[in-house]
Amino acid sequence: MQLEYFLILAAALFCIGIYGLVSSRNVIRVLMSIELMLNAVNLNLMAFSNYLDPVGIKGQVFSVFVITIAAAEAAVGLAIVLSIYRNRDTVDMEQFNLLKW
Amino acid sequence: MGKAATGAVCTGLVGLLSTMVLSHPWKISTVAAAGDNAIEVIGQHFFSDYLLPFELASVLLLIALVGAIILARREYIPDVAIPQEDELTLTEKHRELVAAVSPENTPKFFPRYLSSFLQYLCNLNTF
Repeated sequence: MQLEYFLILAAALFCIGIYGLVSSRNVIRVLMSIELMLNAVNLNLMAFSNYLDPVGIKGQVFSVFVITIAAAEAAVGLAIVLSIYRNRDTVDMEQFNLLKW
Repeated sequence: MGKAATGAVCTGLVGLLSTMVLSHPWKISTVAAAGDNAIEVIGQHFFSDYLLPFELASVLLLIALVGAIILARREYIPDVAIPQEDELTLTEKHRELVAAVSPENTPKFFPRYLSSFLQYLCNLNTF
């Protein structure tokens, strides 16, 4: 019965991440929302590997890979935010029309 | 308006996922969980059947490091360093002007005894 608790918590965390990703205008809050979604995925992987596959725990291996991807994404995202702030003097998502044509 | 619609969609998604999770018959394994032995199992996975993704993750981290440094690097010299360079060039020019009067750099037609006589006068003045 405990698996359902983990999955419901992960679903709530993922939807909070989606809400923050869609509704926030600050770039730092968008990055934090993406991290929240990745952590929800990690929680799902850990729960499934612990309750459905306790012998060969491959979900934990995949969660380590997801953490690696999250670290790389956060580093590159923060560097892009820094360079955009130097060029535009703002971190507002509405002001970023660099890729618009 | 937009935030309310987003919140409604997200709460609906949470409700949908929760009902799906609660209604699905999960085949929970009866084997005891790995517990503290999980670290050894993860290490064996990393170095046997997940070796290539492990190495690719290290390469990806290196690429992210280099990319973050290149993106976040300052491409212009800050304004604080410019007066320091001016001061350095000024002192360099001043030192060259002093060195031109020194006896090593005197012209050929300048008499040797006259320079020694000038040094003698300078020594007299110091005493």
